[in-house]
Amino acid sequence: MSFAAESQRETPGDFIDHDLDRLQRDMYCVFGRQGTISNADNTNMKVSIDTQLMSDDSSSTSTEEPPFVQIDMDIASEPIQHTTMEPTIYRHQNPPSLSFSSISLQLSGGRKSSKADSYRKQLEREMTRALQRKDRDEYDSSDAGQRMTTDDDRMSVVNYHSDSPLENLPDEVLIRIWSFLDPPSIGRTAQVSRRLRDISYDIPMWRDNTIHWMQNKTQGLSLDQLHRYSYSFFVRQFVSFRKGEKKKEEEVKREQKVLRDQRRRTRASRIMKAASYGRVWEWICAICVVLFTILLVLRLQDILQCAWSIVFIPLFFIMAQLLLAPTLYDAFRTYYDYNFDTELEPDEEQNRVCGPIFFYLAFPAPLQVDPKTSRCFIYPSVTLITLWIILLVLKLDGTTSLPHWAVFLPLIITTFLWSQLPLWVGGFSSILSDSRRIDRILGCSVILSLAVFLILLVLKLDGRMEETWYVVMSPLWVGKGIFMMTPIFFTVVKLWVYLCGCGLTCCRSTTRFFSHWGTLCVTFLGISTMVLVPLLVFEILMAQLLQGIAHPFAVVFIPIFVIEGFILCGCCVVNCAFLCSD
Amino acid sequence: MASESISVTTSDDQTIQLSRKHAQMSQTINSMLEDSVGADQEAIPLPNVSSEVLKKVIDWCTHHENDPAPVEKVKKLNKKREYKAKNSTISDEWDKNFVNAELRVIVDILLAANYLDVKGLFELMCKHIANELKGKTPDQIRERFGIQDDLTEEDKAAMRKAWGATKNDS
Repeated sequence: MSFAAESQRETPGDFIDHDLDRLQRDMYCVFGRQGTISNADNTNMKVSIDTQLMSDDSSSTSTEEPPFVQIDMDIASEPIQHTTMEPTIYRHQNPPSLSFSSISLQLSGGRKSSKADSYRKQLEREMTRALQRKDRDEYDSSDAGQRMTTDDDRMSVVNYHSDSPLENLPDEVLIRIWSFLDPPSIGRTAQVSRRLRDISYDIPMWRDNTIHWMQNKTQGLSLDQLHRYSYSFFVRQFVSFRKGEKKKEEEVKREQKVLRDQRRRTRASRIMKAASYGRVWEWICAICVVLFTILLVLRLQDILQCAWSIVFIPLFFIMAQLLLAPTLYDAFRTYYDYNFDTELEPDEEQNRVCGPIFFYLAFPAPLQVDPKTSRCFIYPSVTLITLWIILLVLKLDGTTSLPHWAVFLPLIITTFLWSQLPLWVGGFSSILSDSRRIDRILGCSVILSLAVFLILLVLKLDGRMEETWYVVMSPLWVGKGIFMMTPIFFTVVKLWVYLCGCGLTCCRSTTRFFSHWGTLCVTFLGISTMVLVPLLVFEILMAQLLQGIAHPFAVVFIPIFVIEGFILCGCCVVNCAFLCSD
Repeated sequence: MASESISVTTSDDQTIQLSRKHAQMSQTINSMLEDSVGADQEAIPLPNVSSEVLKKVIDWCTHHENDPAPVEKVKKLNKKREYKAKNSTISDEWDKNFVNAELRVIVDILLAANYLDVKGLFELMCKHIANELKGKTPDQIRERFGIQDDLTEEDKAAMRKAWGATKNDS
């Protein structure tokens, strides 16, 4: 074999004996023999090893074609500091030790020892790298890719533009590194550069990595099975696994979002409870009502000489609460897009004892069921009542000269609005289709009687009507009469239907009184005795008072106190029961 | 066996003494020693290893001289090449400090370990680089390792097609 290297240097005289010695030694390392340097002067160098590769290794080599290595090199530009054999070792030196302008490497081998083989491969690799660097410096990238072939080893030279230390590593080493990666990481590194992509498509590595990865991730796939499949199978497998992983991630994210929302909702409901929906607020409001009544009586009796606005302070507080509660709820509801049906509802323990608390029943409950209709009723009525109270206070204090009808107008509108309420519960569509029409019409008429009373009251106060106060009050009594007569009427109808045995289905479809007869009777009776009868007494007394019979105000208001007493006692009993059961 | 100490000549022409035990951890030197049995005790040339890197390698060998020899794994799956995805965690604290170096040094040590055929060190360096690669996006890898993006858009599109939607995530 022969090893020939011709060198051309710009700075003559650098090529010293020392370098030649090194060259000899390297050739010894590579080929196991010392070569002879036949032509070495200042500008050219020709080195040849005139013996066959590992000719002393075995006798059988002589019969084969002698291994042949030929390297033609033009060494230019940089002065040679070391031998041409080791471009890799000195590449970090500055300036680079050598550069090739062209290189062709031919290796044809007979039998070689593994050591020489590995050295030779290394040599090929390093020269290829050196060539790439050289090409990058001097030529277009299109010229860079060259192909080198050896008899027993094929090696394609691809142009990789990089000075990265990673690029200096041979493919085997890179694949070893890659073998420590999991498939997702391989996928990502494949996108880095062309060379890394090519590395990443090493099938055995891919397969083993995927198998290992899947072994850690899943069960149910046997190795023998996997062994037979191709690269695309593993890519598909990986993709499907990845999708599964993604699904899991999404699930986790969803769960986290739900938890986060839950936390935010809990916080919001806590704020709402603290601001208006707590039981404490109901107590305060109830006490405010009592306080207002007492103040009113004192003011009417002229025991208290303060302005009317002070008397109405408790009412203002209640109105503020009534305004705040639905606004707060609606704001949170819109913001979180969540209706807080479980959060605001009093917990079950409480529920069993006393039922839903008033504020919940008044605002969130209707807003949950039918937000649009409920908003139409709640906000106007609360605002109008507040307006009425303000106007009334102004009127009573004499600050404004508005006529009575103007002062009472908001309240009249409110009552008309409320009179529609029984019809509208459950939305517009239920007006016609609802089966409980009779109940609703009854409720409607009761509230309408209140509106009629208010109109009469205004007319009387403005002096446009000369009737007595009894007449003015009469609509209220009619309304109460209707309300109290309802259970009796339905009971009679029920008995009649029961006795005659006809028209039952018709009645069932028009009122729910028959299905809930017992409960409704008790409810009506309770309301009648606890609220309506005292109210009736109060109204009669009031009418008498206004007609000129001199009752003291304290006596007139006794029924009202009775009602409030009932309510407070009821609350107290219920709360005590609740506390005891706790 | 000859003396306990072996001298090697590195690429920058320094002669370094190392004990026979350490030298035998390198399969390359080991086989050279076996080849030159009976020959004069001359310095072994290591033209691919600089003295700086060799010192690092010797450091590692000193620390791991009492480690059990790596067990040859049975090539069960693939008879031709045994690439087995392994756990890439570096357990040894000393090793963790050892790999905590500049990337260029790491790569030099890796090349030296490959050349000298020191299995443990080679594995360690591979693991370290693998760890560096793990969990990084392509951009981060390019930045970390100073690699230029020479993939064309068609290459990327082809890869995306082959890999499905999983390519675009990080």
